[in-house]
Amino acid sequence: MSLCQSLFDVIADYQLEREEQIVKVVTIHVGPLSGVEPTLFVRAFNLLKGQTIGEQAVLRIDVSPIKVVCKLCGSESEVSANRIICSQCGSWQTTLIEGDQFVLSRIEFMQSR
Amino acid sequence: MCGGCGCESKKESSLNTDFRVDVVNMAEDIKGKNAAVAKTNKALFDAHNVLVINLMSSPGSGKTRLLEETLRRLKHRYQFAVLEGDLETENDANRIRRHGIHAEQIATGQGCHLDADMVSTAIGNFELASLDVLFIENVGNLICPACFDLGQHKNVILLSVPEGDDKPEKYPIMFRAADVMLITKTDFLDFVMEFDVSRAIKSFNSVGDNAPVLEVSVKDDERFNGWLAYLTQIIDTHLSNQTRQHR
Repeated sequence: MSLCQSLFDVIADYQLEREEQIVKVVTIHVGPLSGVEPTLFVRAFNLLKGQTIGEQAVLRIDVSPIKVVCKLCGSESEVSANRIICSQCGSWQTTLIEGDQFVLSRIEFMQSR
Repeated sequence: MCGGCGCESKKESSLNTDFRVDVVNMAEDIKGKNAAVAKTNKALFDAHNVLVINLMSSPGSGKTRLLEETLRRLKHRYQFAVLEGDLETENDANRIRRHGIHAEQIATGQGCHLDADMVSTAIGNFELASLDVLFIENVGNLICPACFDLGQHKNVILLSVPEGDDKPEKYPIMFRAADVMLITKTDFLDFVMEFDVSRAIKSFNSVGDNAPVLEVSVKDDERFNGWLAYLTQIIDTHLSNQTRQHR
């Protein structure tokens, strides 16, 4: 719910410039390590949207993979959330390069009637 | 724009040929506002040379008990204060106050974690100039607290023996945030035969974390002294670095 409220706060900044428009579609880009669980987040979004950005708003979620670079062999790997180890050499000494982001990437507005 | 993290901020506004639709593309980090407040918090802590340590774990892992014993043993050596976070009650803050340590309680209501705004508001109740260390005991929860930077310098994550040795891989976001993992309640090892310390360490490593792991029990001086040695080392290092920067 807190993460959802944070999203609404950011959207509100964009709504300030568009008083006669309503939010139709919100697209976010999240990684599995962001703390955003898509199924639950959609529920929270739909539960709270009526009090904030409007009942008509729809949420789309793009989920990115988790990618790491190995500190030992330098390889990049796509990994799972509970097995963040290098797929080439098996080392757990890795640096995350993708997978923890929570980014608002697109808002579609429509003229209110 | 980077397809992963949105590192290149780009705003476009284009009008669809249907003039009723306006599409705006951006790359707004939703946690950015909290991150900005956390950065301000940290700057304030640094301005007063205060080391801030965020304790996180599931409920009942022993955070408050760890603090009580730590403060009892070290309060004559350093100036401590504690910021407690719980949904309800001041129980934990009261336990700390009995040791003569200043403690403030944040009651989050239905909030399952502390965030930077809450800490920013609470900081005003402390005399930061007189402190060496501020412990933040976060809300007991293995998920949300790790997602909200508070402005702390270190994250200490507790995993108690009764919880099981596979929790790190089940809760990777939390355990990846650790600067040190404490395996607490090790006095239960003789009774909880299923818990294997080496498996817990392997589980911790499998989420890509190579932070140190310490076994701790408030009932075992040798194991508790290991935690105290680690803690005093990071405190002294922090205070020494801060002193050098202010020369």
